[in-house]
Amino acid sequence: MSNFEYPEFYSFPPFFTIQPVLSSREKQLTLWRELILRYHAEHKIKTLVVHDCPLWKNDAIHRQLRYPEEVMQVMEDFVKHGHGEWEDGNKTRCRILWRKPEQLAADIYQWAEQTGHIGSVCTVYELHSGEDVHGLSFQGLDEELLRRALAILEKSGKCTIFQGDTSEEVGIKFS
Amino acid sequence: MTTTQQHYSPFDCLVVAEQTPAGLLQKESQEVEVLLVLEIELRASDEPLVPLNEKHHVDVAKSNLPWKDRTPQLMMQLTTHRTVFWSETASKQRQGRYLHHSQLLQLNTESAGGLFQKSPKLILQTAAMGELCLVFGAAKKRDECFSAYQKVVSRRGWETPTLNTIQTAPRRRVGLDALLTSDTRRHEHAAQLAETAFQGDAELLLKEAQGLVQIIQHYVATLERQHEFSNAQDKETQQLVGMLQHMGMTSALTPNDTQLARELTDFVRPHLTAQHPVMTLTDVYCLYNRARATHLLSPDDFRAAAEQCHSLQLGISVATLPSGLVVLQNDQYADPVHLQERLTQLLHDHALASLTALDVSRYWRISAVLAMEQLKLVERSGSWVRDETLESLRFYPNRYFCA
Repeated sequence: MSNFEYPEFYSFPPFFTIQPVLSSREKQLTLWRELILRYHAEHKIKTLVVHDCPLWKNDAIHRQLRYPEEVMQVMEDFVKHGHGEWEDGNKTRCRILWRKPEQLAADIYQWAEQTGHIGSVCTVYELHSGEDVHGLSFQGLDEELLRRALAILEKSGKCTIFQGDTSEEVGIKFS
Repeated sequence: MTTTQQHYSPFDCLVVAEQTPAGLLQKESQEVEVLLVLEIELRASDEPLVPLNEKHHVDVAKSNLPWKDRTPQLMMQLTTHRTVFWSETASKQRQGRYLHHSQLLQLNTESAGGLFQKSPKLILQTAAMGELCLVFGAAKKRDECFSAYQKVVSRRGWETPTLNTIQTAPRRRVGLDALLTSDTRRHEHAAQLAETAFQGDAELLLKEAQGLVQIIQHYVATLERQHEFSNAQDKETQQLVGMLQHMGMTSALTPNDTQLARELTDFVRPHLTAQHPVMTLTDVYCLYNRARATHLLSPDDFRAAAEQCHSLQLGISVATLPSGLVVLQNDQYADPVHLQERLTQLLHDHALASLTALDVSRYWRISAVLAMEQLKLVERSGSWVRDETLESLRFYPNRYFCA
């Protein structure tokens, strides 16, 4: 946690007031999306608990986003742009999509090409917890997201999925 | 006169008057306005006269154009020294040309009506331009002008009598004769002063009566609204208007916003500098009325005059800010970029990172409401952003949220 390097704008007091002017607000929300994604990706946090996220408050400058209005505005924008999905109807927990499924699909196929997996079979388990996926965007990824990315690859004819009961039994053949 | 004129007329042959930046007459020392006639026609009997340019030389280009003996739709301003005629172009640019009263030899009226329904005229015999004729819309206005002319000519204000004339007299005469002459001159001077003082008081009273006139105007307007469907004017209204005209308040019944707008511009423009290009309309109203001393202006007339400034292209204009605050601004510095530069400079000058409305109000000596509006203006342009806390609303230059 402590080695996360906060961007410079995190110390800019107006960052914690949602701007009323549209052009400024759009850019501000873009910065918030980037910050949330980078923070959760670097810390490998899969779920953001809305009322308990440390990002909303910067003690160093004594500023924080107003809860719940401004926080929800940031989160709604985050989800709208496809970087997250609500896990519950009350919108208290949000699954962070470190990479969008399309981007993940591209990453997986690139990995398969580079490691010579084209034409061979591997399991879903190997994809998120295997030895040779260390440091990649899909390491430790939620299985459901992984399946969604693979479905995209299958649809485009780049792989074939062999269904199984567990992640160790589900096989993927890249083509 | 327009630049593409097809002919030249008596107006082009008068001397060009010096104007203030807002297009008013630059008056000479001790020159006072006596009368204003909104529409008049100037005719010349001797033809053709010599056109003059701005440098008071013969305008060769115009002298080659055909001569027309009359100039219609002029505004006439009678002062103690001169008769100034004003012509306005389509782009609201004014040019004033004048006839100095030292040139006047004789004044006559020509009666209206009669067999050919002639317009009421005033004939001026002048030294340099021969016979000039002023054609009025109404006989009453002509008579009013004639009496004003008589008064002006009899006083010979342009000669500016000074005490020197009294003091030099005894040197030419000696003994009892000198004493008598000196005494006579002193009496004449005292009588003249008394007349001037009385006249001044009377004018002051007339000006102060404008409040009453405004009430009457509203009354007349109400009466007119009541009778708008019938052509017959109400007897009461006619009586009221007649009474006012009898009191010499015709000008009060037809307020001249344009003239007032120019006066206002001349007054307020020096205050609207690059450093303080915006003032609230209420502040300007107070300043202006204070400068006018007893000749107070009603808020409605002031607002009407201020709103004319933009269409007359006088360089200042009224703007209503989003909060509803009405301001008078110098158009040259109305650009948000200019405001943004000034605010940034303020930060540098006082080594600040952000500004509140109170900061701006204190440093620029403007009202807090106006200061807040200025900050919101740069915020709307996207160049500044806000930081809202329970403590205050601060504004920062936009370093990160630029598109």
